[in-house]
Amino acid sequence: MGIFEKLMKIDRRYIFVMIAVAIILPTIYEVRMKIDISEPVKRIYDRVESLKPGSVVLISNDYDPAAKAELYPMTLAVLRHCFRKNLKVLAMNLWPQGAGLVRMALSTAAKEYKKENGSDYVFLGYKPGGAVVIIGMGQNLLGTFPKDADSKPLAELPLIKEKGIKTLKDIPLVIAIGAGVPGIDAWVVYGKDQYGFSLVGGCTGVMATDYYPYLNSGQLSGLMGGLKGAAEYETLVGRPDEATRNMSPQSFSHLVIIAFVILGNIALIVEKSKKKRR
Amino acid sequence: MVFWKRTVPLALAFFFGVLMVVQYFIPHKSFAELLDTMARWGQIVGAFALVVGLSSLIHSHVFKIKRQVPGWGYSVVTLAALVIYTVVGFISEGDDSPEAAFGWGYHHLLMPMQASMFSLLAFFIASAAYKAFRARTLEATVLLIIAVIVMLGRVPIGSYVYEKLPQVAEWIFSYPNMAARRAIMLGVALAMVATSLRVIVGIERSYLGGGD
Repeated sequence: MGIFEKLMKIDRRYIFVMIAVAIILPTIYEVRMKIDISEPVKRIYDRVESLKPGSVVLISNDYDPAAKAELYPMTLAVLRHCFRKNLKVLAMNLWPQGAGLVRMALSTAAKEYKKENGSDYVFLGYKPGGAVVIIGMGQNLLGTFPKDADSKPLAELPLIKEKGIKTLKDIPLVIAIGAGVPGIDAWVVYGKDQYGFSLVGGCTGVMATDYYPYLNSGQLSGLMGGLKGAAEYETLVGRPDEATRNMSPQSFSHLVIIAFVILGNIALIVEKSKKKRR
Repeated sequence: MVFWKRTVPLALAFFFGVLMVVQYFIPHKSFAELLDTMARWGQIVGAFALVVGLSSLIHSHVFKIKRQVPGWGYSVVTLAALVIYTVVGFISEGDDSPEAAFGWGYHHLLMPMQASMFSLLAFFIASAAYKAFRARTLEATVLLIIAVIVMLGRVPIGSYVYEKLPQVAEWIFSYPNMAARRAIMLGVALAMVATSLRVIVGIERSYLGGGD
């Protein structure tokens, strides 16, 4: 068996080892790379920047720990941006297993910017129902979430009282960070289209292609796709963190995959020409 | 019996289906209140779906354990985890901070396990890409070239390879990809409208279930 024939039938464990090396080495040596900012991510940053201090932002975190690597850095970067701008934040989940992650992100960002639960931010928690929850919030937010995640009556919290929030119409910007259904689609169809707030999104890398029609139609004002999107937002906020660090392992793993694809195709071409000659 | 099992559900589907369509186009206060009530009903029904899901899960795994089907040990683990985590949740009153037992389980068991399962995808995708991206036909060659451009353009190293690669990848996302996705979405949306109309007028009855 020639080298090219062997290459065509390579044991996939060699590929696994090469991918592991491409991830581990850049992680250990912390290779830093320049992050280019894409237009859809810049639009989210600009939209948040355009809000006046004290404005309310709703962040819906519709994902679970499986998508933590890509979406948690987005949540954290967006929260840091909102707190730095002195915006008031409402956070919630449409996925039950995401509540712990949101609580973690809120406490991390709040500690950094000395923000207080109840007056600077409120965690609404998880509510089952998906799209129905969004419709409910559009009609009557306090009826849908009578209490926050710590069981305090929502109507009595300083943020809600001070800002007079009753429905989604009182919130100028919703940031939907989602890994599936219910997620960004539900916020577009049942939220943005009915109640008119500005909507921006964050999603996993594989899902990003699905949301470009919404971006083009203006139903989404901006979009962060995958770890790269999160790294871009961290760069814009000026707080490079987990996503920025993980860009080099991702870059090198992509390079390894491309190298294998090229090798596989060279082997295919050589084997084909050999067969022809025979 | 047919009246309760077929006629009443069909009448309810027709009535509420038409009502919800009508309310969308009439911005009147009474319709807004109606939508609010419907949304609450939806949440209550949604909560019951959890009970149905839970009972189905228990039933399916108890069946596997009783019959000792291959892999029944995993069913024991599933049921044990369900019971233990529910009890822990009640004892720690649902406190999901890492200091409480319920939160500890979330942060130190569920989170790493789910993240690890998802991370395995990187290895399988690499192996699948190696096997699948072969330039055997013109279409496969186009797919291969686009995949390489997007894979490089969506990571920072792409701009080191060729400065304009991220913009090329963004162009692929914003134009050819967007056009194809929009066509698919329109097709799906029209099909959903057609299916909804079939349910409302009672042609589509599979949701009623089978048997007597």
